[in-house]
Amino acid sequence: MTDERLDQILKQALSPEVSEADVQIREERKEKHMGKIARRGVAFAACAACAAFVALGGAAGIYRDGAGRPSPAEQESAAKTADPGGPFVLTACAAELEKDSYVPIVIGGEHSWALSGDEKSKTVSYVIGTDFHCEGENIDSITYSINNGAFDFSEMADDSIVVSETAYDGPDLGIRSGSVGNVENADGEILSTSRMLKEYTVKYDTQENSTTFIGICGKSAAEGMFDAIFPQSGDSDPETEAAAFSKLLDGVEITCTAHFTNGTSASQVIAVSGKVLTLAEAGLCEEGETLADGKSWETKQASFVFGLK
Amino acid sequence: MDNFEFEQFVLESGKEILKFCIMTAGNEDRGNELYQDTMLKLLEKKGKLDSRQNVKSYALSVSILLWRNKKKKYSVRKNKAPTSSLEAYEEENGPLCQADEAKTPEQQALERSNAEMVRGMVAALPEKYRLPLYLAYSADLKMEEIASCLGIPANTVKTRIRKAKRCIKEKLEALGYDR
Repeated sequence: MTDERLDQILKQALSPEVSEADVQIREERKEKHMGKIARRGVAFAACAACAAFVALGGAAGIYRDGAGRPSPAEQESAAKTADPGGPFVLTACAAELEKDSYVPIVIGGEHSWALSGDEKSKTVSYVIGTDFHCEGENIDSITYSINNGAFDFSEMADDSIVVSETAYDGPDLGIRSGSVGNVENADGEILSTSRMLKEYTVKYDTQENSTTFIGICGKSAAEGMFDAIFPQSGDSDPETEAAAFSKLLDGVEITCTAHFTNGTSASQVIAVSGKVLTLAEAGLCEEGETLADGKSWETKQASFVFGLK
Repeated sequence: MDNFEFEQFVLESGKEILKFCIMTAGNEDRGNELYQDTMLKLLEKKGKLDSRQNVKSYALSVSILLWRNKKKKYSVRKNKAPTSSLEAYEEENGPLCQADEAKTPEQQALERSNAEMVRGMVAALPEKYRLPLYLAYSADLKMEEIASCLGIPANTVKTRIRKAKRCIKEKLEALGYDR
């Protein structure tokens, strides 16, 4: 086959027919997007009310003492001031993170994960998309830090949400969402940037951005883990695989610290682990549904889940 | 960029960007959604865009980031492929063109049309080889523009495209296609 013929084949195959109408920007999508933001606002109000209830009632079950966090007495005192600091609610994948419960990271959804294995060293690398959102009153900024591994951070250069950051300077972690570095245009202007971070801080009001990707990544060579995740033959047993997922993320903690406008701060610690879930529990389908590949909603599989420590 | 310039940009480059989005997203519906998200993002930033610069390349960078944010590329991709290089992958797993699925891409592809077959072959490539092909053949970018869009040297782009094409060519020839 000549190169010209191959070019022709690729051009035909990779250039689908599109119409003039398809390229028009549909403004109704913008309205829908705004509707989504409005709904989030409602959720925010509900959660803020919930946070206030917890602060006044002293039922601090979902909170955890951390560096810099005021004592319960100080929190109560702060809640009575005109500009109180206080507890906050963390969400992941739009669901509230709570102690003794979990939020599944849905495969193929907006918040997913990937694994890569090295057969020789029996090392498994992971990148797991995060979508943490902090909700509370009188929060000025939020700092996320990770004790093991790094944040995989990509964003448009002119649309950065980060106000301060600490770079990751450890060994190569083997997998990430894209190449690390800047993307520049022909004039040398930086368009987007990808980097590995140990810690980053965002302002409360601008903690999210649709072009920003944030994931956590790391690697491990724990004994037996590689073979459980990448079995030589057949599918992995969900229980074994979920246990291997937990082993892969063993000890990894993401600390979220909310800095309040009155100078106080509060922290919560997020953990990631493996868990066996049905497809319905993992959010891949509704109860009673059967997927296109014939799998029932009750089919079990290993999943990654977020939870509070 | 004013409204007129933005409309002109959509008319001139919209189709290629949409084609790239469809190929990257893997189907028309998700591709259309990605395209709309990309254009809305650009529309928000219209005032900062300069029509004298390569807005198309910038738009494609936005598409790639938006797509990564949607994380479709992670869907159940528990493969053993290292992200470092094609050579390392081939050293450990054999030639990329003879992938190790129970039902080979070739077998699956025989059941589809020729275009779908080629799309399937490209889609099976690692992202670092797949994206330059989409940028070249779907978005119709030149080597330098692809390099700028991906933030890698033009020579690296050339190498990746050459290797990707070699792989596709070998697969097609193995099927007796234009041998």
